[in-house]
Amino acid sequence: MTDFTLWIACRDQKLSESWYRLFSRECLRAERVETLADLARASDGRKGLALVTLGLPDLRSPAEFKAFITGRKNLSAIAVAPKDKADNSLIAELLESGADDFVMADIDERILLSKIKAHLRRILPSLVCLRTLVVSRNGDLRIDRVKRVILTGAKKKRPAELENITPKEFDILSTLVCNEEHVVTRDFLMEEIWKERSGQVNCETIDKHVETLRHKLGPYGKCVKTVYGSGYMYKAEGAK
Amino acid sequence: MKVLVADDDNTFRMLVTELLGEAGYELSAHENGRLAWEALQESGADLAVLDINMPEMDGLELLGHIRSDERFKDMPVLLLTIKAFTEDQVQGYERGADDYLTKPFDNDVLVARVKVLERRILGK
Repeated sequence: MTDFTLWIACRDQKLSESWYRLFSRECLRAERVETLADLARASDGRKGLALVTLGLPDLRSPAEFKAFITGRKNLSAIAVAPKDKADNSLIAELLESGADDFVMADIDERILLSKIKAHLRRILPSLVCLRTLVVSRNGDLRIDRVKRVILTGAKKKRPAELENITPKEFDILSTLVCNEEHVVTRDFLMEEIWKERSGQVNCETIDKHVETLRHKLGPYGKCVKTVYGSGYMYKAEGAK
Repeated sequence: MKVLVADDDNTFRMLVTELLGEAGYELSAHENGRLAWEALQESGADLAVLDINMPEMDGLELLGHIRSDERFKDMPVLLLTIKAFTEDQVQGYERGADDYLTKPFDNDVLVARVKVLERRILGK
């Protein structure tokens, strides 16, 4: 699964908490840090997007921002500043210094979320799912990608946890449900799930995993459709 | 680096082309979305700066064409508009805009935002 994190680098606890809740509500993995040094440690070797607020103890100027972001190809950064401290020359300088965007600290949360999603569209392949909790459109299948739990009959009073699912089967199902009613190619599944080992996997391997997954899903197995010559698609029963 | 500009307001269109021209960009400027779309299909562009309110074809419709076309679907698009309400901005991003700047704008900020989009194309 794609390891992607939204970091909130901010000393303002109220703002940081508010954004953390906003992203968590959207099931996006968010982490809070209070210094650039913390952000550097947290993001080392990981891919993500950071909201970096001016005024951190080790971030006082666009030059310090530039020194931090230069060379960090795994990290995109949106610079943030309070309205009373952000004039146009500072905004332009931050953008020239390597910020991918600039927002005022009091930005409307709906606009912020739209901006974040626009950045994610660009940063990640369109089919990659970032959500930690995935629910099928009819609400009947819930996948917790952190606890790695699959619940069937989620709309019923007594949902059942799917057992004996292997890690690869889990990843295949969550990728398909993330992209419900869209074709997911075998090549994409290979690259997304097997990553650097994708070259060692062939189509038959995936087909075998899907066959076993269908069997384990029981009545939900028929939701995993084969798209001949291409790949697979999850389509929940009762979905429009 | 070629920038497609679409704005029915002559003053803003000329200002944008002047600013981006001075910054070293090649420009293809048009007074409505339809003309811009025809020019894009004929001659291409690397990124776009689009007004929203335009006659014949507005900026959002043009953006829709761009995102639906395999040749241009990944092209960075900045919406440059007088529409400043939250709903307008959210809609702009949801329709596929990469950035959104409201008029009146600061000249340096516009150029800096276009350079950000250019960096994305170049992978820097």
